[in-house]
Amino acid sequence: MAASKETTSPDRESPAATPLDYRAFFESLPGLFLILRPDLTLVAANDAYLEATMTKRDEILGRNVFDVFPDNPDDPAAKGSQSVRASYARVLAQRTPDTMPLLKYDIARPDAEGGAFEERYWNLVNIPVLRNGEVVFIISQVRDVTESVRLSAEHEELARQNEQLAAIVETSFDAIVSTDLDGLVVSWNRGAENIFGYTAREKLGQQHSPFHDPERGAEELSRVRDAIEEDRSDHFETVRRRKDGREVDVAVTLSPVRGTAGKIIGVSEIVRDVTELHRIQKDLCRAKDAADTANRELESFSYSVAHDLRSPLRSLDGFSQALLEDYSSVLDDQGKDYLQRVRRGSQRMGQLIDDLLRLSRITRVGMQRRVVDLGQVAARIVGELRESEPSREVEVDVAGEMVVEGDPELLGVVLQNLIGNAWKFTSKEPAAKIEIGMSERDGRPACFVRDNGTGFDMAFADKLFGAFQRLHSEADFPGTGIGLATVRRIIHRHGGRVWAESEVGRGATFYFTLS
Amino acid sequence: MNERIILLVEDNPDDEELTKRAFRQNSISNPIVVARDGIEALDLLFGTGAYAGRGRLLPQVVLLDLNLPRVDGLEVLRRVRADEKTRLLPVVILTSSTEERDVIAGYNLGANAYVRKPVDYVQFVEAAKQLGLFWLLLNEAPPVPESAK
Repeated sequence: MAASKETTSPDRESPAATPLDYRAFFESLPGLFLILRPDLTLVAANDAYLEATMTKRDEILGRNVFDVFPDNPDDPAAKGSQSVRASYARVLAQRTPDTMPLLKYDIARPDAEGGAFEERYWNLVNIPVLRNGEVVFIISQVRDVTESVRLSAEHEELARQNEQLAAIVETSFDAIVSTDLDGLVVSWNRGAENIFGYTAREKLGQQHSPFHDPERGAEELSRVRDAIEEDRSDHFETVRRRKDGREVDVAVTLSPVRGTAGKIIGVSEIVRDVTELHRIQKDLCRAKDAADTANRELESFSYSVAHDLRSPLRSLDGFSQALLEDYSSVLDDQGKDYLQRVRRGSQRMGQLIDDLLRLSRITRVGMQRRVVDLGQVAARIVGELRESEPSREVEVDVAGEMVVEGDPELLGVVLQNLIGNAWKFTSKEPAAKIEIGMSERDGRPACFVRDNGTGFDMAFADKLFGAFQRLHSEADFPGTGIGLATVRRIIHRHGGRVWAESEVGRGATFYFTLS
Repeated sequence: MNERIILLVEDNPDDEELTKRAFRQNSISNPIVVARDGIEALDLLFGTGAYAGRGRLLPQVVLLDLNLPRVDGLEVLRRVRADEKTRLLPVVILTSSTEERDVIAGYNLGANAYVRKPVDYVQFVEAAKQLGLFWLLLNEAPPVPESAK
């Protein structure tokens, strides 16, 4: 706003006789005014105008208006000068005032302040001053509406955000309910209608008290009070009552709501129906309990079965041997042979029981995950094998670095089986050789046990790991046929793969990976 | 009492017969007393129940099966170790169980040894021989407390 003007008058006269100083009147007018000649040079500007456009009178008068006010060079869409030029042209041509629509015309800050352009919006009315029917001056009445435009844009943006938020709230499956400090419902979304059974119309402005019983109600209300007092959220599970009286298990998140002034004006809650979730959790618990019980029963069953089965076997074997020893004089060779078969049969059954028991334990026992040096394990097993059959000469090559992650005991069983097999199936080989190490298969590290023994026909490779499957006769190579089934189960429990490659008469290689 | 007695706690008559035979075959002729369940074993050792008034049995070694009717082997062991007079008695668990938890329990309760009964009788005879040689001949048994005689 321009300061009050001092009019200049040459003589000291009485105030009543002060002549009318139109220039002073003009320059102190409220509102923004600019006066131009028809050739668009500036001849006058009032104080308010200069202030609004950040210019000085002596810097702009006498110059072309568009030299003084160029378009914003950084705005490629700027066509303010174009519109104004057209308006002046209309005024000159029609000799009538021209009211311009909202105009964007950015104004440069003074050079002393950096000269950057500011975004501005204006309303312009351009009016001709006529003498003898010709336009001698153009008066431009200007209003700076930048603030109002900005507010309007802000308002629109807020409205848009509001709409978006409202849409989110409305379409949420969870119930979103907000209440004021008296507990009256301020908002009630579709989720709330579904979960509580009341429509928005029924609840807006009403008390929100969906409590299952007075006790719970008191507890929840105290939570709400605390949330407001301590200005924090709360999360809890509870039971609520629907309009139709049905109970529903819910999870509630409670938050205080702040108004624009920053004070707490109410509370909002997000309520999720967790009845289904609870039901699933209960089912899972029951299933787990059932599985645990079954496992325990299986454990004790296997234990007693194994024990009870071994006992008669001992009798079979023992008394057959007793017969052989004490009654050899009355037994012919055939009789002795029969008794030997009885003994062998019962010993073999004992072995089967042990292997089966071990196999069934593999799936039930808990697995540990540790760093294991398979090289050491292999060396130990080879040592034991050599001790059990000192007469055999077998060349064994164990790789230096065979460090893996897995259950030490179970991996020991794996190697026991694989190396034991390699040992067994090279028994007919004069220059038996066993290799144990690690290599890469399919881009992943794999352990292997290789022998140059009797090998097997790859056509039967898929039977190899089945329980009780044997690819060689009992007479050639003794065994129960459970060893490899056990190996496979252990490897699978580690998340790995086991497979074999072989050529009849040229030996076999067994590979395995661990997860 | 100079004779070294073996107390065999075993409910299975076949196992009993085979054990006795195995000792015989190894020329071990010590008297073998057989208790067929846990109660009978305890009565013998403590001079109670059916054996009341007849004094306690003082074996050189007890061969103890675990799966017994009425009172099982581990319970027998627990009570034997709990009594001052039998606390030091050598007890060898002789069982067909390979369960690790039984081995641990046995040693925890103070068994002196844990031997598995093999299905193969020839191996069993060998085991009996080793047991007999060690516990009856080589091992120095703890002295019998005066009050127990």
